[in-house]
Amino acid sequence: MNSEFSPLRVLIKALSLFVIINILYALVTPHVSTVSAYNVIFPGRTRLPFGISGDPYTVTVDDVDAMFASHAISMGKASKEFRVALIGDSSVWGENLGPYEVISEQWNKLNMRCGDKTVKVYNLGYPHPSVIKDLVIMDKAAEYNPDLIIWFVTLNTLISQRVNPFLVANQERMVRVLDAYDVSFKQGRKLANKEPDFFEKTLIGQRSNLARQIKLQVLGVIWTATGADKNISSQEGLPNQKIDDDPRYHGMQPPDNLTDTLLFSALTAGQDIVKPVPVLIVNEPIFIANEASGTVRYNVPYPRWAYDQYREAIQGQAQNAQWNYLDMWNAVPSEYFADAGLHLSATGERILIEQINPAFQLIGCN
Amino acid sequence: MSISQLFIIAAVAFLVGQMQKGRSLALLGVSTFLIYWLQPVQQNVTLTFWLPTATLAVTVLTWLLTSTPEVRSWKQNLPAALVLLAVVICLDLNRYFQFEGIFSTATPRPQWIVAFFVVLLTLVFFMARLREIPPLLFAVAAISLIVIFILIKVPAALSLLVSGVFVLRGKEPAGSISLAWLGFSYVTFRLLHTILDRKAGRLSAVPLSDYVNYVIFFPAFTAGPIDRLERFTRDLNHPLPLDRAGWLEAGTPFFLGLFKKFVIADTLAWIALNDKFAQQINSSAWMWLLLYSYSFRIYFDFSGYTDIAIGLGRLLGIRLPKNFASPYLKPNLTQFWNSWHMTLTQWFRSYFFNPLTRAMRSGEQSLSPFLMILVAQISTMVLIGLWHGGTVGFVLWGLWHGVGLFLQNRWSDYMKDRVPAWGSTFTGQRVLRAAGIFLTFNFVSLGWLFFSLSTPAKVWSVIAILFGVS
Repeated sequence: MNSEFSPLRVLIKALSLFVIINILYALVTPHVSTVSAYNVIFPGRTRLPFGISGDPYTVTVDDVDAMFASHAISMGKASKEFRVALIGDSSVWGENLGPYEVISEQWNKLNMRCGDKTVKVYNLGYPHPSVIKDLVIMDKAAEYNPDLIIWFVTLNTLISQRVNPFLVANQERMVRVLDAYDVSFKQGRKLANKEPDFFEKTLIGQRSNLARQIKLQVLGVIWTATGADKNISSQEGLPNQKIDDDPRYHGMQPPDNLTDTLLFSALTAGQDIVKPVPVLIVNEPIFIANEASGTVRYNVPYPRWAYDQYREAIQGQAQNAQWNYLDMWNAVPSEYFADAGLHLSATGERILIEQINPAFQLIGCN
Repeated sequence: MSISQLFIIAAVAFLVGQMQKGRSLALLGVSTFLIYWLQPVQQNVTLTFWLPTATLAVTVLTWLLTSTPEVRSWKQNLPAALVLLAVVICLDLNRYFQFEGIFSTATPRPQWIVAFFVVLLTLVFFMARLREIPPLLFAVAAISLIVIFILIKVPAALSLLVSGVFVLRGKEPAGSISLAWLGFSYVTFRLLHTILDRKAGRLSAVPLSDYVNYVIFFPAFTAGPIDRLERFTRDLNHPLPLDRAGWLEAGTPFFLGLFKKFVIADTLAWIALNDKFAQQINSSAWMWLLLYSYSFRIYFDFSGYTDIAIGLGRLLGIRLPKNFASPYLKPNLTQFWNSWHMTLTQWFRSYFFNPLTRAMRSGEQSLSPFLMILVAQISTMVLIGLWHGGTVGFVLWGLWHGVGLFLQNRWSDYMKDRVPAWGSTFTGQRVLRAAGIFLTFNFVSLGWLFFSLSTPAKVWSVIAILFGVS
């Protein structure tokens, strides 16, 4: 035993070291989110990491840099690659689908070509219906040299925006985009005024983010070993057709007009962000319950009056602004949905691809 | 237990350890409170209260059984009895205090507690009057403990029993039932140790506070180690000073244990083999990696908790026995079992393996030594397996190790005079040792399959993938 040992001295030294490391970390703020074992040790993921608490395959990291670093798109672009990025919400991300059943991977299986280039589709969907979130992802996606962006939107994407953990984690990028492209999002701007305090920048303040990023790296083992990136509950059978008769939507009901609350300026901004890369905007398919199940709502998320107003409005906007727009709202029969909302089954995704492909060839390959 | 809970417990351990007077009673109060505080919430909420209460009741009754009239005097034991009673009553009154962060507020009505104590005190009264404990009572107590243990470890047996009671009362049979009776596995083995040693005349009687402190000593309550009563009470009554060396002895295992458990084990848990992953992996290499992750995870988790317990114990002036000694670096299975969960293995050696081999040797028709070792090793390991839980997987795990120990024993005997010349050189010895470590670790890891996977069928299919025969 070392007779010089003093518990008090050890405690003081340990506390001092702890404080110094925390202060240094806050001062330097190392950008650790871009460091990733994916695409180096493990193959990149086919979609952005997202999972509810307790999912053994994944973890949600809200930092967009960390998310992209784990994605296959970070692998680098081959010279003969025609790179397509899909932007959207959980329906693009592939709720209820395995990583190789999602729309991007089914597209890749077709081995399509654009001239002498091979089409490679990347799934950059993320399960928050928010056009502001889409803008942040598009801004990041622009760094990866896409040749075409296919942007899936729906009424929930454009309706009144809320601040979510993803936007909070990426507020710097979000505010830059909002300012640069003059997008109106008051709540988002409020975030800009709230600078993270010193404590939030320390190791202790960042412990949750860091822990999730480390967990994402470790889970690369499970991703590589199992090829699974999400705990998929085994759902069988068709979605329930029984839809209630509640006409309310986001506090509105007929004869309210919701078109003023739709953030079309964000759709314009998204196209400007990736310019000159062409953007194909797709109004994503929705589950349409049969008439016998009620005439007030199409499905669980949407009453008919609200959705019809939205569809008419976006169509008008697309025509006026000459967007590349495709309305796929009823392109997929209800039996190819995984739930009574917006999420398609694997077969549903294939049907959707077939419907989009002609427009894809026209806009993307010419 | 969470890290914050552990730091609170460490602070309490330090404060109690510094008390000059009333230390044993304070420790008793803290341990009693903690066995309630740490108890997970049960399906039937009042069980969250009743299970720790039953732990205390069984402990007090076993103390009466193992004590002598000299140490049973009211004067000597009244303070301890009052501390126990006060903590239990205060916790029951939480239904009125409503301190949700401390304990369940859905405690039984006080009249139930009174009824319970009337029954308990009646039993205590009659047992306390016994000058000599009839030998049969020791057997009844030991068997009762084993029956309770089986009911906890085999949910099917408990469900059957409860359904039987329901049917007798003319009610619908209950569904599947399981009890998460925190710490009772360890409590049972401590109680059995005192019952068996007392019956054999090897145990000196101790007062109530020393006995209950030994059985529910909070640092070792949930994950061991299993100390021996005489050794524990020696430290309890003559605590080791918390001087510079004491701080080092307490702090090193405590912080090392935290690191092992919350950094290494919890990280490995993300990639440790389980049913779900096993179903999705077809590559032998990945399967080995996940199996090794499981092996290291279980080691760091368990030994981490033990280290924390040793550190906390030392803060209280009590040196708990070592439970792990680098088990994965042992060159054969016998040495592995001498360094893995050592206190449990020693318990089984003392109270099952040795008596069994003695009985087999002294029997009229003595078995061959060969067969004796086989029977003793397999039955001991199967029982150790069953200690973890009453499933086929744990039985098979016990068999795996029992057969492994037997084969290793035979092999060592066979090789004793046949080691080649190169094996005696310095390099040869190191090569043989490394090979032994490699084989032992892999043998043990394969055994963990019975722990990590829910059915033998899944174990076989994983083994097939591991060896590339699927």
